[in-house]
Amino acid sequence: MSNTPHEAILDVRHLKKYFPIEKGFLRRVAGYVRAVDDVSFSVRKGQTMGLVGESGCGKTTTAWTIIRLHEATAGEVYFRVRDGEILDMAALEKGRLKEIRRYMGVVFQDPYASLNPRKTVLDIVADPLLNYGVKRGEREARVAELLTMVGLDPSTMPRYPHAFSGGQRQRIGIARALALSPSLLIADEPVSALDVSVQAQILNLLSDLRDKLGLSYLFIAHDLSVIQHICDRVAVMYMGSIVEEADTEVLFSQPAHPYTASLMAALPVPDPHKPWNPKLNGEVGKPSETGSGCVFAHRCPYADQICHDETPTLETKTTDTKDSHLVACHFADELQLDA
Amino acid sequence: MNTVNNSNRDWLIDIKDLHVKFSQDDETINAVNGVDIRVHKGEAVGIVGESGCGKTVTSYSMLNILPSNGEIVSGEVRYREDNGNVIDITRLNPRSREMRRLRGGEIAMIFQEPMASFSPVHTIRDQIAEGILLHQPPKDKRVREIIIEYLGMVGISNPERAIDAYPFQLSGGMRQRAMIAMALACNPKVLVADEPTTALDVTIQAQVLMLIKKMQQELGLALVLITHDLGVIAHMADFVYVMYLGRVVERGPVVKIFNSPKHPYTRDLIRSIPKLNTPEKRLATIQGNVPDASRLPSGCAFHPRCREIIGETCRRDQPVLEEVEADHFAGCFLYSTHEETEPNTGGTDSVEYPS
Repeated sequence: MSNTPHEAILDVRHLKKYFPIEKGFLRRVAGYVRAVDDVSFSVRKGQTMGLVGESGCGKTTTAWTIIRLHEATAGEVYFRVRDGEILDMAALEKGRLKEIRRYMGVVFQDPYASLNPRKTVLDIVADPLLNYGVKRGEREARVAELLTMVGLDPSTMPRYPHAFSGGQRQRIGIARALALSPSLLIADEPVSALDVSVQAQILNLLSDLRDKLGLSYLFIAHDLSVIQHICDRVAVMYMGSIVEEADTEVLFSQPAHPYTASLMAALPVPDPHKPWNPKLNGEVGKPSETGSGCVFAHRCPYADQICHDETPTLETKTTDTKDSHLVACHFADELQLDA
Repeated sequence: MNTVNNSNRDWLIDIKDLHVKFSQDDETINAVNGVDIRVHKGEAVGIVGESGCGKTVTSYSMLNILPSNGEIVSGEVRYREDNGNVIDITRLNPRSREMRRLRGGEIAMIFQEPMASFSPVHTIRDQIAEGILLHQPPKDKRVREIIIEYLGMVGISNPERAIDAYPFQLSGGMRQRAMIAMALACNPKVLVADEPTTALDVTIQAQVLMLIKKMQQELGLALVLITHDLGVIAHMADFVYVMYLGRVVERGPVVKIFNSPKHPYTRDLIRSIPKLNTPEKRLATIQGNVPDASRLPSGCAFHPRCREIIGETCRRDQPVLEEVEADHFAGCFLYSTHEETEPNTGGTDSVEYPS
């Protein structure tokens, strides 16, 4: 396990998920999409780890591979169960997996698509309880408790999802994720489908729940300002790889990877006085066409020959006083990037 | 940034007291309830608000493309042509020759989802050519050359190849560029963009917004930008309209809206965005949810969520837009100049523009 000051609840090591590209009548494998390519990070107990990146960067696939909605191509996912036992999720057999999965809750992106419209709120939130054999009498009381916890009136239990607004639906989704008292909550873009004013409510709720219940979060989002607000530590992903990882404060004040800096520059800040100078040209390449070299080289304004030839590894930035700032860039110690 | 809404300048679009309703399952939804918006030549107007505030319906009214269950109940959408001729778009049949001439030819639109708004079975060339042939059939040049020129102008690399592509063969960013090329190809005076970058990644969003800004300035277009994103508004708009539940609650030059927001809704909206590099760990929120548009609250529609509610007046009466400072209006009783607010009857709250 890592030698971090906080013990890790989840430790992902060299995780890979390749999807085969099949061609022709015989479904011959013509290549692979490297959706997640050698990703390592850990989630510390009681903290929020953020994965940020643009669409197709592999952040959702990473989460799905962790909970084994996808089977990993390679790598280990160490999860610390309540009693301190550490298990490799990626290697567990099915029966044991179900037993362990109850400690991981998942909140999905789209509160309209992730709730069954034919089920009542009671049935939706009680579903995990049913699945893990909680008795009927206890289920309703637990659902009432959960709904109160997420700020909904327990009397709304017999209603159907369509009667709720987007923000309320996401609260239902959070209640369902918390039903089995997990220790890790994986939130995949939990606020991106919500209006600004409602988004703030949900972010505050997630922070409160984390502190109150002692949860740890793996928080996936594309929005840097949301990530910065809620996360303690952040990993920036690009085309299946982590290009930079640091504590939130360090990452946002001293970004060391050119991609991180370009992402920040591209974000229009809601203040007309602040300059807005997005510089990044080009588009994200095809994940099936990654060869040697840095994944970001074709768009990077600082790229040199070495960037196209050699793949940089994620290493501690030496000029940084903190040893927890990891960057995958050949010029990480030389570049002076603006936050 | 241009100098802001100078009302003496020529206006191109003038919306007055627009009311739009939708009927759905025996229910009437009042989507737009008395909106006044004025768009001047070369100006970038931003309309901002959350879902259900009526911003998209307002923009559809400008092109007379409301869905079949939508209806303009009252109000005017006037368009002023180069020769000074003023046309009320609401009085035109959506399918009439006159409306078709204006739509695309004078007022063009960019939609949110470029994949859904292009036809999947026609090439980019066919779809852009349709507009050009309808609005200004070329005399000397071939249509193909014109299209390639526009595709190049919007930054599509290798336009000679892209022109024969089908929309699904282009990336999201490139599709949105092609849509901009299509909108510009008929030399419109006004470009209406409804959430043009919401479906795009942040780095691509930045590229497309920069392109829209550049095109607007180079071609001297008026831009109507509809978005929920205050960050986009801050950097793209000269003049801002903030909408809530079918009404404009505040309007003013972009700097004033962000420096000194007057309406409690605008204030809370700006406060509730997580901002980069701010120490606060708790976000300000707006209590409750946006109410259902079919069940509008009485009085000021924002009163159930308002933190600065004054009293009974807010629950009973409809505030009108009042000038709080030069060129900056807010519809809130905090700024009411009347001692006694009169019960509002529809249509009296139209706003006088200084001229």
